[in-house]
Amino acid sequence: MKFIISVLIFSRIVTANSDVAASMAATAALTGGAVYAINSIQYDNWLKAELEDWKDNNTGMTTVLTNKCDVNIEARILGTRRENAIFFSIGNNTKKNITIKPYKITAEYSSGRLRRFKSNIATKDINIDKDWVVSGIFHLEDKTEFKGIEWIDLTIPVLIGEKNEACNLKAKLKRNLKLEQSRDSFTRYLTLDLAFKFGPNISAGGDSEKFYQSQNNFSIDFNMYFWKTHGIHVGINRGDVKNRNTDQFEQEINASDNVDLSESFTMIGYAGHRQLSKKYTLFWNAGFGSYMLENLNFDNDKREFLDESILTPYATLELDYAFFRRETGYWMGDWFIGGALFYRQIPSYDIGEVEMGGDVLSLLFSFRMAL
Amino acid sequence: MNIKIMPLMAFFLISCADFSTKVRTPKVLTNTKTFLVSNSQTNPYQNQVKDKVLDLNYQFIIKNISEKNQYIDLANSFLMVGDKKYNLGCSFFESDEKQKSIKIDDSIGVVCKSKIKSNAQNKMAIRDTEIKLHVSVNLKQSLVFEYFTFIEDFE
Repeated sequence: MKFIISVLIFSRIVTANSDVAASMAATAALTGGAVYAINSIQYDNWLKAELEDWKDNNTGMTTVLTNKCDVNIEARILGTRRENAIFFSIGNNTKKNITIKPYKITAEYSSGRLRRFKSNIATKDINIDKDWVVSGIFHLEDKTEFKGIEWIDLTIPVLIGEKNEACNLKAKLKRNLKLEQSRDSFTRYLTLDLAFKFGPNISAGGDSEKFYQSQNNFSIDFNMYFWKTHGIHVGINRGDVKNRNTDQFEQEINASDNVDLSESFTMIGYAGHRQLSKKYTLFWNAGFGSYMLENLNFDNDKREFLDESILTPYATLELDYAFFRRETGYWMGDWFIGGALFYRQIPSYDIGEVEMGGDVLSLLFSFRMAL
Repeated sequence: MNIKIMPLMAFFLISCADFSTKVRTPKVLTNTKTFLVSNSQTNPYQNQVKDKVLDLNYQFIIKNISEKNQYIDLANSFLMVGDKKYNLGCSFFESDEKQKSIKIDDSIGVVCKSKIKSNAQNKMAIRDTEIKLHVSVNLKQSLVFEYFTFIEDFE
């Protein structure tokens, strides 16, 4: 993690081109994010993720063992940032093959809810030959349903041999009531998200008020939440500054039809979020960025840096609505739309007699994809 | 700095990510007439091999499925690496005791630890060397957990 941060900072120091700096920061962040995402969903990690408040004091595990009809069952309760699951091992000690139909396994919560395990594929029977042990993870719907529950009764119907003799195995997972229920066992945290934002500046300070109020913005923000709801934000904001209302400014840069102005703001800082309800989430970030205003002349293909600065503060507060949520499959994740207030401080610089820069506030429409 | 350096940088970042070598244990879920036994599989990751030393931390759970209370004695446990015998320190999870009585249908966690340095005699540095944990539950009965070395940098 330290390495990724240092690369992001390093990328700003050594480069004099804002596009390259932004690309590098985004590449580094996305690469780090990909590594983090892969690690966070690895099967290996699942077994290390037993819910702490469900661990038994005598065993140090959430494991419950049961044995009936010569079939051994082990069940364990696991949880990641996004969902809870039950790990099963089933050992066949009968002299016959056994069959389990996964969609017939039920989990009854102490709250009274009865749940089956979710599956996004056509569920096949699990056939276990004699003397074999199979293991797997069954995912549970909606982690928030774990709030306040004290036990889960599992019922696993088993069919034995060619005659399909039925045997119902039962196992009871119990929360450790000597411990206070951990918020982590029923709170659904995001791992990372990517947001696209567009909107105008609504407020600007100083002499450059008119200039910046005529500007639209496009932003890409990437957040990785390493510490529950807290993490790192990397973002790029591009401003459209083609509208040149300030005469002095136009004169100073010798504006013509073949000249284009480009403003960019590369950001790195802290990111946080809090789920207010199932549908609404508040996001925020704050940090420092590098600001750059360039004048690109298409006639001679030259860039001219009118202003550049590092360590320029920014902050965003955003309220999002989750309009789509899917736990598995291709479109997996939470999809949000929302509105953001984006503040940034543009460093002071003079164009002719006009002092540019100041505090700028933007109102952005946001589209966010989160995992 | 050129934009062409991006793929190299991405590769470098991935290469520097935190990968380490670990020994894993097969799933155990078995029973005798008296006990139902399962290993945790959460801790094989603690069986790390550093500087050719196997640092073993094995954890499992025993349930008394007999019709009477059972007295468990872990004191005679040992470890075999190939045909070489080593000490294996086993105790109950919630205390450092080695002897305890468990009631009908009760479960108890057991933790076993050992630290072994690889050498020419124990062949532990060779891939597929068998490691067997013999955990005594009483004077007559032992539970046996086995796995194999398979990690590349161990060779």
